[in-house]
Amino acid sequence: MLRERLGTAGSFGCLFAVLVTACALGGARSCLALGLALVLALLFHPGAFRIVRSRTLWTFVIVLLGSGALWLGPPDWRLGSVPLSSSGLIAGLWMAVRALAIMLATRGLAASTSPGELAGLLERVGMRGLGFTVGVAVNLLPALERSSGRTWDTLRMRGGLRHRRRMMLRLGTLTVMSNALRRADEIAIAAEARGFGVVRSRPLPLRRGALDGPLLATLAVGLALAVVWR
Amino acid sequence: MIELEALSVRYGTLPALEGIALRVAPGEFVLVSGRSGCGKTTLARVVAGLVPAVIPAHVEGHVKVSGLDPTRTPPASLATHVGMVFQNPATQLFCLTVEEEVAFGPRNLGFDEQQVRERVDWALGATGLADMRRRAPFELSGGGQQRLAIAAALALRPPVLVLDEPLASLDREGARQVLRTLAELSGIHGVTVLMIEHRLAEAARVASRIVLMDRGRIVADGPAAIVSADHARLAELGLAPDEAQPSGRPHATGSAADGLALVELHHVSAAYNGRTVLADINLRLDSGEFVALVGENGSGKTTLARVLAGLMRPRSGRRVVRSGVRTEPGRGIGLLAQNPLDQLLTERVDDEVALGPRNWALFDERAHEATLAAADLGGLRGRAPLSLSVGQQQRTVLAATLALRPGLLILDEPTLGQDWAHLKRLMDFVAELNELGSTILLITHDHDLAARYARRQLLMRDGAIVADGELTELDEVGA
Amino acid sequence: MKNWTTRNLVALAVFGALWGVAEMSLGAVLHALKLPLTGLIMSGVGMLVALTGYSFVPRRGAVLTIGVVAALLKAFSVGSVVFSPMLAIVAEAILAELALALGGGPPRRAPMALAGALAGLWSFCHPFVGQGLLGGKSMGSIYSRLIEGGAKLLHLDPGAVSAILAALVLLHVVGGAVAGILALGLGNQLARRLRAGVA
Repeated sequence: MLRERLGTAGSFGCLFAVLVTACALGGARSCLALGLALVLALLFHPGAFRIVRSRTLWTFVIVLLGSGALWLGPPDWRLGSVPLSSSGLIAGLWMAVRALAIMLATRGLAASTSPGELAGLLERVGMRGLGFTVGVAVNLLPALERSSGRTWDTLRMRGGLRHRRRMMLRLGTLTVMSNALRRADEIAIAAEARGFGVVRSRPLPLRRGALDGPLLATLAVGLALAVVWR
Repeated sequence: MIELEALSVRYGTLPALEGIALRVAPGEFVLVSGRSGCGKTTLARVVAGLVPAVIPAHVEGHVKVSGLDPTRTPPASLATHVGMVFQNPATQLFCLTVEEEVAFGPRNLGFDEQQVRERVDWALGATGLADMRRRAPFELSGGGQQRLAIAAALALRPPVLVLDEPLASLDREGARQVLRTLAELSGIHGVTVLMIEHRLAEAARVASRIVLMDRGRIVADGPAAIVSADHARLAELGLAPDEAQPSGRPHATGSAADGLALVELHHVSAAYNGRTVLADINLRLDSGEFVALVGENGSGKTTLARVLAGLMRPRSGRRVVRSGVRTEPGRGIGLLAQNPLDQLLTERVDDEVALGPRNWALFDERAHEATLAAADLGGLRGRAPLSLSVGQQQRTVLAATLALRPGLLILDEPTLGQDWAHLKRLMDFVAELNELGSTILLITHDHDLAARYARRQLLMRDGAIVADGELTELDEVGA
Repeated sequence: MKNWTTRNLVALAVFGALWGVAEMSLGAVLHALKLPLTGLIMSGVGMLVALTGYSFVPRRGAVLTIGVVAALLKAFSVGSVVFSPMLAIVAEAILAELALALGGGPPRRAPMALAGALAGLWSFCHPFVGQGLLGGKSMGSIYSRLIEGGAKLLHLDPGAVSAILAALVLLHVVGGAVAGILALGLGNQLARRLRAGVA
């Protein structure tokens, strides 16, 4: 399967290419961006097409079409008593095409990339130790949620926010934060007991795909042409 | 494998260990136990090299573990000689999948990917987690997470494994899983195990040797079968109930004080994030009862407590509170959560106990003093709650809850991290409250504790109450 | 991040997780209730947490790391990468980081207030930036015609509309600044409480 031959870099490259194309080319040429997004989604991120079920997307598209028709050009026809512009409608259409292209590309990346890979990528551009930090936070989260829930229950049982609201909120916040921080020493000790050190830390692994290089090269050439054509 | 000779440790001027002499042979499974504060955790941390390298302390004496002196070896260098597993699973998980978690240590020490893979496979196999390698650590049960922590320590192939109260936050099933894993590691794979634990009854079944400590010294050391049979000594050290006490339910009251329902639940169901947690619960608690709610983790006990306390609205059904009893959370029904730290909001014990009454405009100086005295907090009133011991923190939260004079007091898992002596002190106080007329609902997965204090038990499983009756009946059912 | 210790990273993880908890609990409730100024409230809470974290790890990159952790946790909680809210969190963290870098040194009132203010300003601008990215330059024309139309409908002076917008911007900036100043106080109280626990 083609999508299994695309790694993290390739997936980001797809999004970047669509973004640049959409931003660089306006008007009818937005169709190029949409075409690119459709092809890349078909080849590598078919999960992206679930976006057609999104109410938000179609609402936005309708708003763009309607706004364009109402406000983006001289009115030349009427719908009932409402003056509309056909050039404005077309302008709205190209805006919708651009929006579709970008949303399809971002959904494609979201469907193929895990948050862990994002962390790995950021580690490689200077945020050393981020993988460890994210890992600690992810594993701490359920305990923190339970703990803050219990503190909130206690606030309610002690009279809640009936009186002295600011003080109670401050006390609750302090309690949640101090309990969370008290674990920090234990966590650090446990990590060091397994040999962890910031300098020694290795970044999270990224997916490498055989098509990453060729695809990125092709997209780069295409982008250059698109910018020149602009 | 482990040699300690004339070992003494001091934190500043505070002695923690005095004149410890201990030898552990390769492959032995040694259980170290004692009351809270006896120095067993310090012992574990010295053996694991955390004291004094990471936790400053003054150390004297001779220490050798797997040929190295851990007090002079950096923790990273010691990791392949001594593995350490801590009490709380959530504080020793750093990765996004089980596989990465186990690979964490070997990767940190620079092993190549082939070696990392081999170690990961071995460690996952030895702990029974091989088919969970792609799961996220936080998705595992408490017992699963502790087994993962063990696997992660084992991946560095240390010949010695030190565990500091690994069963503290686990229910019976979780504890069973962990103990079974440790027994196999010791018996089959030859790992030397040094386990600090005060859940003696369970842990003693798998250990080959038990060492008892008190006030920084070793007071008993011998085969597990012999030491665990010395009930008098265990009771003296606060590790087991005193068998001299009359059997049965010494603290259980007679029939309920007035036979009137204090709170009832009718066909109550509750859900979290679309998942049913309580299913068609029907329950009545009468004034003066002492009821135990038992069940494994995830059975719905805490959710039931929150619904009873009015902290959570059920998805369906009704909660009915007796007329005249306040329905606001904390007023008619008080709830003590598992971890007292989550319920300590202020910076002085005095303020903590006064907080609720002041917010409800109920504060009365005499009543306040009486509450402090009853909970034996008079001498601690100016202290910061965070500086208190776990037992003292629990009493502070209890006093703060009682200050609002609730008719029903719910205690959710008060056993967490407590030795028997401290737990008994708390439970005896609660039993006295019951004798004075308070209704008590004790939530626990400790059936022995339930049997000791409650007259009536509710057994929960998968969000439903599957048994409800006097203890004798449930004893027959084999709950 | 070269000279950071394990404890630094863990403290940042804790604050990132706290911001994440706030997003998932309070954020979910506010969005479900569809209350106005949800963005301002969540930005304020986020800055309160992140800047309190800065008082514990007062180093360059701390607030950004806390923000990135919170953003990634958002993705984990939803089960996939969700760009808009993640970008909002990271953008607020970047702006706060810039403000703190200008101030330099240990946490002080003015840089913390500026950090919060910039984050608050972003929470106002974020929806427009996002829609602008999607729709292009013409979104600007649509917004201005929308404002004109709205003013006519409500019989308002165009000047009054600008004043309303300015007031909203000011509200976001001041709200953020207040969060920044509160974070300084909260950090001090937190340190005191933790010290008392060790005593």
